[in-house]
Amino acid sequence: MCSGRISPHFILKAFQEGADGVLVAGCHIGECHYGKGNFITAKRVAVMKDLIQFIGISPKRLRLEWIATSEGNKFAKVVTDFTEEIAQLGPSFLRPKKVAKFDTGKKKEGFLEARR
Amino acid sequence: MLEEKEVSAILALRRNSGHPTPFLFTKAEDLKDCVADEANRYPLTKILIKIAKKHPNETIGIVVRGCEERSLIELLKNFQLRQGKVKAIGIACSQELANQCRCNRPFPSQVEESDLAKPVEDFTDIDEIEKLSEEERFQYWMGQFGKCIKCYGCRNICPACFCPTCTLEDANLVKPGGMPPEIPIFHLHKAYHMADRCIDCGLCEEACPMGIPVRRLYRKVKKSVKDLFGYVPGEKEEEKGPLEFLGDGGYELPGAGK
Repeated sequence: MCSGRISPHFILKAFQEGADGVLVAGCHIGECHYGKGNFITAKRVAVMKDLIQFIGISPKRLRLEWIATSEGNKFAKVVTDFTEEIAQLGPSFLRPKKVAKFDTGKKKEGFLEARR
Repeated sequence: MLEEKEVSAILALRRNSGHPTPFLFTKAEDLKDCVADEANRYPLTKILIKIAKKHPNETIGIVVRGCEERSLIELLKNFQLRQGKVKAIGIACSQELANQCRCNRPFPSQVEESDLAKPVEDFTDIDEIEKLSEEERFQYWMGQFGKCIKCYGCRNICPACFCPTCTLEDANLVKPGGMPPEIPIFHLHKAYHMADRCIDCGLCEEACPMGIPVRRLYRKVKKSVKDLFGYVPGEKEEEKGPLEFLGDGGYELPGAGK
């Protein structure tokens, strides 16, 4: 999916659902398959960082990286880096205090049976 | 203007049993009832969108203040009104009102008066918040947002909001049925939309029945768009908001990474 498709609402939704960090990764500037899809991503994320910083979520929790398809090593490095940084920051203020209980048995089985 | 058939109607406020209400003046003799005094601010441009949609071929005059003129420019830019089908009649605000609104341009462009109110540049409200630590900021905003009764007043009064389908009513983005609404996402969606569109009129904060300082949030994003891209909404008609098009990479892009 083109990084230009990442609406700022998706980023906000992730934070609202309790995500500790959001990593937006796109193709390098100038290498966009669609010409200039990632230009808007850069602009959006910059504004977004200011906004979340203002309401008290650390801007470090949102990161924008340019990673090309062939840069597997870079991807691994970025994800490790980012995870470490987030671990240092601790859980997000927005993370729900109670852990949601998942329906473990009945519904799923019923669903599967119905499909069979 | 009405007598010369330059415009077919003028949209202004009229005193209706003591209260100022918006009214579409179609006869010149009715205009004596028109009120244009200081105490009343009203998003007339918002009503103009509806009227213009019904009567697309009529030229309509509208009484505007500085803020409403900026809203008019934003609406023309976003194709909500047609070029040349709107005639703005400017009125300047007093210094008192400008101070009260912290308005940075309390007069429309075509007003010819000698003593215009001085623009007020005041960002103390934003600085106040930025002084706080991260956790204090979060507590402050969650406390404020928690008061929200989801009346949509801030959106409905906003003279720069016009979408027929609103993000705030999208069930996938904001869960419906809760009270207060999902915070802070409800207010942040709106704030992001205001980033390159907010004309800083302050009506949202005046309309809020719970007294949530939403204008602070919008002023902040507006300021960050100005700092990042040098764009101020409502100033130039030919310039589009930086978040509304992809861009050509001709300016310095905010870098990736931390």
